[in-house]
Amino acid sequence: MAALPTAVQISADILSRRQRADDIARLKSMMELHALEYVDVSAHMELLQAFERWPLLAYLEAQYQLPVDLQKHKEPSP
Amino acid sequence: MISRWFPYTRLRREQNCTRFTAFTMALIQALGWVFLRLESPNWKALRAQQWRLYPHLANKRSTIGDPLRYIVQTLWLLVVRTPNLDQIGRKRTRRRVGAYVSAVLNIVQRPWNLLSNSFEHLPAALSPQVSKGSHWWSTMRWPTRKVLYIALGTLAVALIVLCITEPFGYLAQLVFVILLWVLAMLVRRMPGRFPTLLLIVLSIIVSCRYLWWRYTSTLNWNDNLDLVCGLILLIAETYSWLILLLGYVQTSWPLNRQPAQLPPDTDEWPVVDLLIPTYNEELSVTRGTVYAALGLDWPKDKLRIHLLDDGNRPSFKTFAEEVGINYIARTDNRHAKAGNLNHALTLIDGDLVAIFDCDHMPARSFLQLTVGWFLRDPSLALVQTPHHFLSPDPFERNLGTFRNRPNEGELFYGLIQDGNDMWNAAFFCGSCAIVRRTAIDSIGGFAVETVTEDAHTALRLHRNGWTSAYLRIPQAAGLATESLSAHIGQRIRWARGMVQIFRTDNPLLGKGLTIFQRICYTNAMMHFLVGLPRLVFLTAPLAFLLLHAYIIYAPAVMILLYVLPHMIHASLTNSRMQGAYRQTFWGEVYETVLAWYIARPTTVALFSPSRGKFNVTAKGGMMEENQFDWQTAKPYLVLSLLNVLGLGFAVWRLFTGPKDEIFTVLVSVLWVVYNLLIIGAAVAVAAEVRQVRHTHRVLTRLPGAIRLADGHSYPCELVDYSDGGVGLQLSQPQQLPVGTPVSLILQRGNREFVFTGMLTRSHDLFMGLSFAQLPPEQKIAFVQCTFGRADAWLDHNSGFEADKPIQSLKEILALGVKGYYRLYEYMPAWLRLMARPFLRVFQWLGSFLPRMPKAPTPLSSGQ
Amino acid sequence: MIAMSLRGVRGGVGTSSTLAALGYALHELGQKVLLVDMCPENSLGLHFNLNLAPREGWARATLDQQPWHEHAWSVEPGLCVLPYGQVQPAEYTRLDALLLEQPQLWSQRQAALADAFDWVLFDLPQRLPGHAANPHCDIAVMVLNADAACHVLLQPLLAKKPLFLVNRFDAASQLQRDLVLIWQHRYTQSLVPLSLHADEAMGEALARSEPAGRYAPGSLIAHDIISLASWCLLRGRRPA
Repeated sequence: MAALPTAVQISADILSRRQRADDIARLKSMMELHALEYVDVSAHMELLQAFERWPLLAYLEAQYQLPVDLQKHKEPSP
Repeated sequence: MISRWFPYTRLRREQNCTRFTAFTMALIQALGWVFLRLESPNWKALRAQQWRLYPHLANKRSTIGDPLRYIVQTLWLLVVRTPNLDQIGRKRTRRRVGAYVSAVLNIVQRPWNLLSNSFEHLPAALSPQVSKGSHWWSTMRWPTRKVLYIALGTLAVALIVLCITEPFGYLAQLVFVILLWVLAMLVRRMPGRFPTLLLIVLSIIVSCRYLWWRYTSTLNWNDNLDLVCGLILLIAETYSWLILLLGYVQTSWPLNRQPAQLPPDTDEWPVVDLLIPTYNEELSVTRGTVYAALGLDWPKDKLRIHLLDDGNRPSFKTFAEEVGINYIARTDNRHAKAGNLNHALTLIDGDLVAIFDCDHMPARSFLQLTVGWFLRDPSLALVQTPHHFLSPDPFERNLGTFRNRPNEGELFYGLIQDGNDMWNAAFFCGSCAIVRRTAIDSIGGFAVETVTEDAHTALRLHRNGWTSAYLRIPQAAGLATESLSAHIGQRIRWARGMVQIFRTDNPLLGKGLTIFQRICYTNAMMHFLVGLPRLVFLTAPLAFLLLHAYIIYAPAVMILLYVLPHMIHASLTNSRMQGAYRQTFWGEVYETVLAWYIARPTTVALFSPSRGKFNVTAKGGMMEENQFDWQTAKPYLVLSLLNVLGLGFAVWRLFTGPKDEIFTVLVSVLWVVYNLLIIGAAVAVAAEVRQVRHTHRVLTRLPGAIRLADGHSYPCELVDYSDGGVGLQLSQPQQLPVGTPVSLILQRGNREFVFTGMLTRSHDLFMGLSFAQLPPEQKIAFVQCTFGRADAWLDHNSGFEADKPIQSLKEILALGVKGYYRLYEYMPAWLRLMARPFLRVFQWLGSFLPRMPKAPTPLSSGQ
Repeated sequence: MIAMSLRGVRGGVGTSSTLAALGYALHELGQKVLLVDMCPENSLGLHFNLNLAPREGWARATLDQQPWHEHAWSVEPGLCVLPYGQVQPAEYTRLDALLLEQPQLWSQRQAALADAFDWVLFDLPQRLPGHAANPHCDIAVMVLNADAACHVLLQPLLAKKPLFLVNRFDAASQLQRDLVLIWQHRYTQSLVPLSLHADEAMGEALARSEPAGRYAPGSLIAHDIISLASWCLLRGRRPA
């Protein structure tokens, strides 16, 4: 089927879109800083604010989980 | 029939030729029919191809010069390779000739290729022996090693001195320079840094030899005029030679420092005060920087942002309160920026001080990449990052080189600072940097004595035993100067300031610096003295042509044998070292533009360093229409007129001068033409190109999506952004009226952000959105998704072409021609009217030049 | 062959539409795909312009002890849908008990399908534990929306480390952004690293009896689903 290569292209394109969206990952790969541990402070701030904004989420957090160390954040593997 | 054989009437009627022309042309044609059998198939085929082989003559009105044009073009066709010419006979001849030529070439080429390939693989092949050798070396006892070092060093120095000082005749010199050149060409093929060092050594030998020869045997002590002119040129050349040598030392081994890792626990991170000094810049420019600073990835309780407003403007105060940053103003503005920073230092108490000019937007990763070194090295006082510009500077805009050639600053931030860093001499550049508070306190604050407080502050830090670091990762971007005059104004300030430091706090003297730090600082300061030497080079050949002064008192051939290797080796070496950051010959253009303007202030500052006042670089303006900056270009017009005059004298000397001077005149003419073209390139910069927008659009490729009010969403690609809007490319066209609200979904890492904007333009797949009405927190998020991305400025050099010295020279020369053409375009009407006859003459002469034949269409080539 | 299942963490999160669209996208990427409707509502075929609630299906056949595989509909070469079949509530409760009794039933069937298909996608029902547990899947995904109710329902499930997929994500909503951020940070390993965006085209596609990728190939959701399919392909190749 003629559509196959284009479909594969689409898929590759989409994967590259996801990679391009991640600025820290791109910084690491382009500057060869593979060992760099980056702390996404703005995301952590937002996370803390989220628990402040929505009491139910904070309540469930306390119920089900031990508080997780905020400093450590691993990016999800693709 | 008669009209075919003798087309007199047709030429008269259809082409409106004069009687004489028509008669001559018709006669030639008739003779052709009689003697050449034009009706034969071969001639027919040739005539059918006329439009292709004689493209400039095919649709031209016949004139009397045409026969000559035909002859020139025919000769040209016999010489050049025509595209896709499929006439068998010619192909065969060409193949035969080609085979012969390549056979001859092969004799030379084959061994050359073998040799150069073996050189290319030499480092890899040698590495086991080298490592064995170095092992053997390190096992040797120190006293033995010391003796060997001294012996080898003495031998090398002796040989070098011999190479430099031994006088040679024509032949010996020729053989010597060819040998060195061949060696350089072979070494050039080898990868790695040691071959670069070898190239440097070769270049130094050749240049020193040249200068030695110049001092010992090219000055005419018997004639005062010759001596004065010659000495002036020689001093200028010595300056260039010194800069060349210092530059080699400075950039021989760039450090390429990597960021140091911060501790995982953010509680151990130091407190940072981020200062944004401003004086008269617009609020719109400053806003972006503040938003970007607010988006820095640093714990909020450890980052304090201060807007230092020396203009004392209420609008800035209101804005600072709105976004929740500290506002610092003072009653006077003594000592300008340095004073502003020093005043702020009295009010803050963080561990580190980051400084951003109000138009430099930091990327969110700036602090995490830079601060690590302060924790690792307690004596580190300063980390500097490159100044990257998101808008084209006047050179890039007016010459159309934005994003495809390295710009003027690229050499400094790409290579020189990295080279400085090797010697612990990276300078502070006033912005995009971070300094240790205790260090700056220990030298009594930022230096206020000169107009370049940044370099002076760094010099003082180094003198006091502090170290500095340079991190070559663009982590901020700002606006370049808008106009050529502003750009020159900025450079004048730098030049004046650096020369002031050179006089008042000379890096060669005083305590606390290593020899290499002294070299790096001296080179940086000497560099700004380029004005006078450059002007000398631009006028030097005139001394001979106008005044008949023998500035280089030696035979022309000998001059070439000495000067050409000096230039070629310097270009080869610099192309290898700097090619990625500055292309060969572009430096000449940059220097030429500035030469006149920095010559006076630097000279004044050299003799009385206390004179000269601070002037702020104007940014964020707007070039309303195409215009020619006559004011700025004036000195170059004078220089080019002088050189044209020199050409006139050259013609006169050629015809009336003595026979033995002809070659000297020709060499001078070449020099003058080169100067004229370089000046032309400088003139081209003065033709200011109109700017279309108020805000600068940054080109990018970022994935995104749009969401319409009806709930439909579409993926898109973000192709450009500015602080007030974006340009998008969709995968399918959308028919939407202008003014429709459209939401843009942008991703950064895993997080998504939505910005609702207004459709401002829509054409086919392209769409423009304006975000004029975003609330402040959304603006911060928008800056974080665009300007503040950690990777936003990393691939700015992806469009640069590799440096090829010959290609580069061609481009510069073409640019020079273009400069004069632009000059003509912008001339006042009456001047243009006067210049027109000359232009006509040139055009008429140009019409005789041969053209490349056009490629055949499939129809005609099918036979 | 890779078996994959989608199951809503609660009803109405858009599981069937997602499954239909994903099947279509995998097929677009050159895969041979079978979609199996495990829900007694028997409505998966609607996404492919098939009849509403066809009489015959695998559940009907299993109850009647007929050959089950004859009732698949071929939508396109290499893209088939196996309906559930018309079954009374009492009967599917009985079938559920049967499936609980024979936990290998679908595993054996899957083995039989291995040559004909690259992917078998199961649309799992909310309740009916027998139905939900029987297919043995390499990739088992829970579908949820970014709302507080799903967050509550999610908590007891976390111990089993399932995979979650966020559907109908609207980044303009503060709550949705916050929830996804929390999930990204708390359940990094469990969350499928891409979210399906809310897009009107998804709802419209069912109203046109088409999978989203065919109804609106240029839409964001079609694009998201292709990303999901690409992710599945990458993940499927990796040893589970």
